[in-house]
Amino acid sequence: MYMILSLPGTDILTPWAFSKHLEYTWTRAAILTQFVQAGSESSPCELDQRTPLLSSHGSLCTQSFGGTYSGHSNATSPKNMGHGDHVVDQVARSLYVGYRNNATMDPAWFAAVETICMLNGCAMIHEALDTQIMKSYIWLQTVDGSIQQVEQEIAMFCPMICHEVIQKGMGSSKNYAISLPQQVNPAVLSLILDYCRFHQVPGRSNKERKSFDEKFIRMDTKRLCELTSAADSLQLKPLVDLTSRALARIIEGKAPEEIREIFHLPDDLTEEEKLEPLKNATDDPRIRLLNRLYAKKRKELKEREKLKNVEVDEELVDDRSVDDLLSFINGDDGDSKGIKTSKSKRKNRRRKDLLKSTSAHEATKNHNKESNGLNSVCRSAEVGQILPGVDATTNLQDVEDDIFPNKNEFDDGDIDDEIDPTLKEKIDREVEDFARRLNSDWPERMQEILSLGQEKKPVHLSLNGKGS
Amino acid sequence: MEGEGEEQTSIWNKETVPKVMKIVSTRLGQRDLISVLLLSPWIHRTLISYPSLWLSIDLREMNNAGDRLIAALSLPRYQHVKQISLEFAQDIDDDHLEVIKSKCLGSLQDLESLNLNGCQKISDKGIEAITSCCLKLKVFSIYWNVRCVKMTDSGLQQVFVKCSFLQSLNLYALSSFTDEAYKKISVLSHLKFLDLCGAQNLSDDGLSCIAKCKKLVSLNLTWCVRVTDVGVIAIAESCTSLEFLSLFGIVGVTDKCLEALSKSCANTMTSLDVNGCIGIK
Repeated sequence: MYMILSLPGTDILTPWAFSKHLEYTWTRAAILTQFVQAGSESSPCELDQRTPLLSSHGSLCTQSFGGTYSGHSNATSPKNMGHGDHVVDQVARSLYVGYRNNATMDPAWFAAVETICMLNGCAMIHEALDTQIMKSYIWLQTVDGSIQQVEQEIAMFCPMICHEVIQKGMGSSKNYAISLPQQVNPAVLSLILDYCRFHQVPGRSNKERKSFDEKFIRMDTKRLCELTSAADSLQLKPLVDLTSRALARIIEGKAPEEIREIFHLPDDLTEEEKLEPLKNATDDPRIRLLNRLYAKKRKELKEREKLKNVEVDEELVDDRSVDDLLSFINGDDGDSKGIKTSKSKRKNRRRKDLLKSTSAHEATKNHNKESNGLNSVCRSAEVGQILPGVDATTNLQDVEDDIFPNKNEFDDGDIDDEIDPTLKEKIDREVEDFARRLNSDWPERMQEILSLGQEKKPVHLSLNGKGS
Repeated sequence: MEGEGEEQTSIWNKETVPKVMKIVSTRLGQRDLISVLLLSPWIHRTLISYPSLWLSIDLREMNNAGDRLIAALSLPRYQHVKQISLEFAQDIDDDHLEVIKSKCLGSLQDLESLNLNGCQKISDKGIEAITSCCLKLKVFSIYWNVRCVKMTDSGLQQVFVKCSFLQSLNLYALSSFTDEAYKKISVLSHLKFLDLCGAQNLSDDGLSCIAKCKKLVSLNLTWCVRVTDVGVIAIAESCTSLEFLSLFGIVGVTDKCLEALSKSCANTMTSLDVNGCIGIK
């Protein structure tokens, strides 16, 4: 607007007239810019003289456009222009030149021109405007330095970008690209733009949006985390809500060890953890181990899901034996409730695997170490007499370290299909037996164990498949 | 390359994850919040700086609850705690509560809700100690294992005197209180929810005193077998905002009290339970 006022030759107009002049001028300026541009490529443009735009400004425009114009790059004026046209011409040229030189062009100008055309029902002009020059793109720069342009309606869906455009006038050209916060790398930006592209369309139903969202958040946790951080920096609240809800679901019910693993955080017992009065698990190294093993187990189950159709020798972690045994012993600890519930869900399957794996297992080394750890635990529970004399080293860290290197020895393809029928029967029996034991009360179990110890080898505690 | 990888990891650990955890933490329950708090020193620092996350102490079903509670209340982050739940917590007794009274008074100033359900070792002494610290208490719940009743009339009276802003009182299955206990209940002028299920010693006299809490919205008199029409009519006439009333199992009430109720509380009453009230036809 200021440009028009400052141009020489402008008539002094009443406010109404001025606004009309403005409308007119702007619109024509836009058209002319188009013409000039087109002219530089030597292609004619046609303009319908009956367009409402022109007639509504009849008082200012004594002559209407008509016929075909062929613009040219240093156009002074197209044929048959009205008396205000020299002003228009100059405005148009300034706009054009300014744009071509990539000076800061207020996108609001272009938007205003476009709006006026639309309001005046000039579909054809609107289309003519809707070219590379006039279409609103916003230029964005990510932290790695790369610059891209994005359709205005999509980019403006992000409040932060919207703010930059409207308040600071940024983003209209490559030189004035909006610097996105450092949390937004190109990959994450692409995801965010996908989200915006879908949701900025007004006509979608809630069901459609919800369905899109559910599919959208299916990504690995690390990426989800990055996305949350980026969306937050762009103040895109709906996406922050979506991603943080998903992350909350992932975190719920898990112990710190597991969560650390999922989020790739250094796996150290922190000072805070040692001193925290409200931490959930008892300060018991066995429980810590259990949780760590559960985390690893869960990861492996997930991987197994992925490789389901592929015949691969998968790693079987023999931690389940320790799991079962430890919680078997710890069964009635008040705080192991959580452990118990998640355990009970997978009891049968794990036990089957466990028994199968132990029967397949050849080396006794790992087994001895388990018994070791178990023995120390058992001793504390006063059932030491059950197990044969083994070194009473209470080093569960060793147990863990030994278990994992050995996992490659286990073959754990499709579980049930590969078991020999007689072996399967035996395993089923042992499973039932084991289930019975786990489900009965601790004192009764004690009795059974004690009596077992006198009869035969303690098969169930040591789970030595070879022994049966 | 090495340096860059390390820097990336450092940003991940120290900035990205703590920030994301802060965003997610508003959606997590207390237990999960504690787990997250313990993930790393940077997350710890970030979360501690948001006081609004730390308004609730959840020690439900935990062992060593007494020691844990004292330790928690000594932490700066719980200085403005609003809600404490010790439901079925173990290892907490009067001594712990006395220690809290003497050492952690400051932290309890904003306490609004206290749940001592199932804390079998707490008696009058402990109750007196803790309630004298929380004058702003609005919600108080002591729902016990019936076998282990350690709270007496005077203990309850202490609660009334100290916590006059109480809005909700749950004394489910505390069968040892007599009418004496309820004499002072009228000081609880804000009382809206009262659960006296199983108060077998409660008679019409007691109920008449209770009727003075005019703002009562919900009253549970299940199995309060000594109550008759007189008591219920007193309630009906006085507590005109009553929405929920249970007379489950009270054989001594008849249609008379129903008339009274329909006269005064018909507008507000949404739920009236008269199961087992054989006196009502």
